[in-house]
Amino acid sequence: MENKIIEKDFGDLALNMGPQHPSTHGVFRLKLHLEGERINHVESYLGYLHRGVEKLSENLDYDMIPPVLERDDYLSPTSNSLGFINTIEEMCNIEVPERASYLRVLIAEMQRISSHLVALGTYGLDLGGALGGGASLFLYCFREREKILDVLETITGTRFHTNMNQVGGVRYDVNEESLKKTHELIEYLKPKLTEYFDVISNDEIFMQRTKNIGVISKDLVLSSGGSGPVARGSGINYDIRKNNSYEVYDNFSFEIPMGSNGDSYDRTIVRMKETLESIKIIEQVLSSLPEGALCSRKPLKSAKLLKPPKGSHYKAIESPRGELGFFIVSDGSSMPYRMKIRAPSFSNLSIVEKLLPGTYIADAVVILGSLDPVFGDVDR
Amino acid sequence: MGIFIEFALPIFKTISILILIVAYLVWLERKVAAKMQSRIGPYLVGKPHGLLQPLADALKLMLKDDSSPKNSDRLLFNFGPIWVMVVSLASFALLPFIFDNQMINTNLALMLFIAISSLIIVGIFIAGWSSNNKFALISVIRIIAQIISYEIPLIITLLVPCIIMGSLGFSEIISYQKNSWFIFYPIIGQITFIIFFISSLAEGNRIPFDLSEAESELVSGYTTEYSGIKFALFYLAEYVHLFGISVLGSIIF
Repeated sequence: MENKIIEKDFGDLALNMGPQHPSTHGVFRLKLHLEGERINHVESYLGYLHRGVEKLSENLDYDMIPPVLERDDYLSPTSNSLGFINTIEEMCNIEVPERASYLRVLIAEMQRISSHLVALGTYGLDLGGALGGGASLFLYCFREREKILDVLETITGTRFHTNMNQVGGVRYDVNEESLKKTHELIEYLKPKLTEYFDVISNDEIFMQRTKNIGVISKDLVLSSGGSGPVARGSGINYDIRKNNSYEVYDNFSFEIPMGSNGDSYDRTIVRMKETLESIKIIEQVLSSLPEGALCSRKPLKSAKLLKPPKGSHYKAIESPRGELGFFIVSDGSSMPYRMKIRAPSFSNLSIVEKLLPGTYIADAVVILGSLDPVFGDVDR
Repeated sequence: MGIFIEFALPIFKTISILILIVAYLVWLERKVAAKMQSRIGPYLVGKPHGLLQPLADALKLMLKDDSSPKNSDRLLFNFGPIWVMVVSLASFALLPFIFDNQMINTNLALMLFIAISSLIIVGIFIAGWSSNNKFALISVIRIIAQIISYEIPLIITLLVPCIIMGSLGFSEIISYQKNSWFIFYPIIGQITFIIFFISSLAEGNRIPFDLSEAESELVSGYTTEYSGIKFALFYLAEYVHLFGISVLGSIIF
């Protein structure tokens, strides 16, 4: 057979980046049409990590869904179950004890820090390679993340998919030992994160690689539904923790870091500042943790099956990557009729096709990394 | 027999010493990088500090299955690593780097060295071109542009000491520096050394000039499709070349 390659007139060379490529942060395929080193046209292909979470949930009781959902965005498992549970609680009008809500916030913010640390560490690898400065950043970030996971283990028994939240409250309580460990963690993390922030935000090489690279305008963010650090990096003040508060975020004082240019540098800096704000929130949780019940329902084995009234409901929370929304249609039975997850990574990633043309291959990696997509979240 | 001992023995001696030095330089690099990144580095193979790790690596690479990609030019694909290795070893015939081991002593040694070592790029080009891989192709385009543009400052900086010392032969250059190294020559010595150092980093494809292997974009550049013994040859040749440039630097400056 003749080996003929048919190419549209997009450029000299069509280069497949992925699905097995070190810098696509998972299984993502970018087809780059190049002219020399300049990218002329981009096609993106998704779905390599599609696990059918939405369809799977249609055959599960409402109380069985959160553990499955935690595998969705695997870098911040708690926020998935938190979003789902918040939606169900609003549908069924279930009250949550205040202590439970505080504990949910505690876990969610700890995982926000760990998720941002992973984003920063892998971004270092994208910029620097395995032996360069990037690897140092990667290893330092993962070292601190390991400390967070250790504390999560003492609280919930699991390092990663904590399974902390359940409809009506939380599963595990904190005790003196775990509170002490959390205090120690905060004392340890604060100087470290501040140091990394100081080093990176003033680093000449880092600035040259990221400043004015991948500039996302406000209009582009709004038209493609970008949220989270991507939107805030472009100067859009949108954080659901403040704008449409859920749980007990109203009780805490924290700031929302903002960028101005919308380039890769701003997005990274926003993420780093957010970790420092998360530490503030955790400190406030620890100092004002109220006493009380853990869950307003009976233990799961003896509790009645949840049957939300007929109808549909949408609720979104702020995951580390942005607006994570759940749209649930109930037909009155114990399983959802349809569940749609509005994944923040998916909307953020949709900007890539418009952003890449006109840049160089080296910048493509930098831009993709700065959007911080998680492919469990994109493909669901 | 006499001819054999006269010619083959010094070659064998040089190559074996060279490969030993290079293997342990790789080990040292890994250890130092590990210390900088709060890791341990190799420590399991060869109990104190993983001293046998280079041997284990070499053995593993030799035992690996030899594969080549579909539609690749098999002949050139196999020829690339051999060419690179042979050329980088050949340049050592001129360098007096250990025990008075200089095999060829001419007063054009420096020029010959430059001429031979710049042939390495041909092997790399063959390897990237024949492996039928777009990442390798882009890497080769980059590496050629880089090496050609950095070779000019490298050669010019090497000419400065030669003009002052009045010779291109290594033994004359060394004997000229009996009293004081060239790097202490006021102003000119320091400037040329800095330019030489930077452009030699680019010549050896080391960080921050590792454009050709830019791991995050081009997977691993022109060696993407190579595995086993052929990859080992590339890896070794890269370090041998780097070591050669460093030896040259220590002779001249």
